[in-house]
Amino acid sequence: MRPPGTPRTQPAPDRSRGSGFVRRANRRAAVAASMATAVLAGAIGAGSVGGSTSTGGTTGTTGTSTAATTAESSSTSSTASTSTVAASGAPTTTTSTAVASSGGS
Amino acid sequence: MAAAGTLTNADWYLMRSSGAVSLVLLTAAFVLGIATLRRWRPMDLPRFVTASLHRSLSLLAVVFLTTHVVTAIADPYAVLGFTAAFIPFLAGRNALWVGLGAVSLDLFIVLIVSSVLRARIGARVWRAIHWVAYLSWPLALAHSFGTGSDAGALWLRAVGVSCVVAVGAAVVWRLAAPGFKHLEPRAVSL
Repeated sequence: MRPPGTPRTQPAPDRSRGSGFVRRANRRAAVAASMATAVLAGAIGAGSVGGSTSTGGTTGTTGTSTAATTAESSSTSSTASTSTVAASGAPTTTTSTAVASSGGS
Repeated sequence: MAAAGTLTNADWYLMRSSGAVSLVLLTAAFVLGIATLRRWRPMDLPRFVTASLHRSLSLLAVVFLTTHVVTAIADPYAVLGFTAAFIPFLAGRNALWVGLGAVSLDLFIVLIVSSVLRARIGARVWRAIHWVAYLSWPLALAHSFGTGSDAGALWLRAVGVSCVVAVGAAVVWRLAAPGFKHLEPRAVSL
């Protein structure tokens, strides 16, 4: 039993330092995950609507864009047909069917 | 025209990207959970830091998983529906792989709810329930590899393989712990 007033033999863990670390890490993780989602969605979209690659610039996005372009080649043609149909004034339901043929999820 | 197509499919793109990010977050939470068991702490910080990071990353995964599920339900071309998102093998397309995702989601919900209620259910029950993480994560991985437009894409495979390596290394690290059987998880209530 440690008498009152006696200093601890070991310093107490620095909780405030740990809390600050956790707060910063949480903030960075949330920002990074949000940005990754947005950039990835943009890269997938850019690949599927015309073959242009993402300009997001984050590491690894180049591969993502390229892969998305390849994977969504069928979607590109579907989207193109959507535009054509829309220009000719066809109903929206026709457009939906055209996009559905691109592969869904 | 291209911009219109992008907007039309925005929901679809968001569903795919949020799914991939969710997998990464779940993997990070999984690895940090094991790190908590191993009493690991970064940069000589107090040990609660690891548990706090595990908890907050799990909650962050909830946010992105919710985005993934909501956009999947909202996407008319995914042919999912609200029920099939939670009840396995009811999806209109890719029923098996989507069903594995539904099972994983259900297990993850159980994990989160049990952690929220940890004070009520007790540490022993909570600890037993937490073992389902070892089932939930592989199912999520299988769902990622097996379903969707990106299933065969190189980038998603790279993400998946990275996640497998991370979790595999963490599991080996845990099994290699001296006195492995005596390591008990500390209280990590959400």
